Amino acid sequence: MTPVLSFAQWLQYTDWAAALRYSATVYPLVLTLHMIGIAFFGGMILFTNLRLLGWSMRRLPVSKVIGALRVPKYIGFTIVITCGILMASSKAEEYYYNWFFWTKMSLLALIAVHGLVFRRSVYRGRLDPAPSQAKLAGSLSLLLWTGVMICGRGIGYIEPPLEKLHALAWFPWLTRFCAWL
Amino acid sequence: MVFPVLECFHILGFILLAGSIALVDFRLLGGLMPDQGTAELSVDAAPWTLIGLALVTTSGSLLFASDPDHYYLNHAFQFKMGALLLAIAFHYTVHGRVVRPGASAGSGKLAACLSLALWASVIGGGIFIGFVNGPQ
Repeated sequence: MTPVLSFAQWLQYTDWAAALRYSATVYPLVLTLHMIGIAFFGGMILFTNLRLLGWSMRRLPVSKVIGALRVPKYIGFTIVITCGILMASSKAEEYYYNWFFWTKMSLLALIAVHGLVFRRSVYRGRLDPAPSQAKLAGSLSLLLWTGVMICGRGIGYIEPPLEKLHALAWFPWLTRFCAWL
Repeated sequence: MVFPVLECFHILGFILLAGSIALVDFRLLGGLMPDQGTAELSVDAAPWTLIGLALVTTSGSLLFASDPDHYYLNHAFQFKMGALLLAIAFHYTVHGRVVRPGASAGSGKLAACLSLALWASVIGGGIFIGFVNGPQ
């Protein structure tokens, strides 16, 4: 068993993660907060990108738009990622087998790389970025975030391999039944 | 395959819709771009709000059409539709008025809170469709 899988099993069976998984109200409320965060603050990322591409707020300098939307983006990111960690923990073992989940995490890592690569030339530069650099950063960011969104929705469509789940190891007959199905 | 793709367009649409409105609301609340006119910012946001609205209503109607019986009896769906109609009406009446240059800051703040609460209710209602009235 890989360390990641044993960690996922341990995480999923902590009291709070199990409680969240089985809660008919708290889980959807966390998901709701996740989606509200995405809508309100994902919009800030979107407008940063639209400005980088020159499709919106062209009367304002790029650096000004980036600066003004930075704090709301961070606030939103904190809300969304907190809810995301809570939900992923509650189904950690199932998500271990979910390739949409791992693709989403990889895309998020690429977004972090993107932020570092364009840090000096676009996001934290003293001067306005060169239009070509701004357009490149903006379109890459849009593509990566769209990918994250698609994978996020895709996670819910992957059936966990029931016969492999630790939860079911407690019920051997159920495991056999699921395998038979 | 069609359903999840429509859902992705739905999500993209409501990010455009609620995100562009939130941009103006955060400005009304005073935190965002305080040196910029609210009216100008709302002009920047307006086309994206409309694109978002077109995307969510188109994809949403198609999602609804996939199983109307399941949706129209669903309490979360009914709540969502009520909140959506209110939110759209509010956006194109009151919200449109408080962004004008002469409007008072207090009324702007109140309208921004109401607007954010309405759109949050729409999203919450949408999420709960999958969690109420038994299994899908």
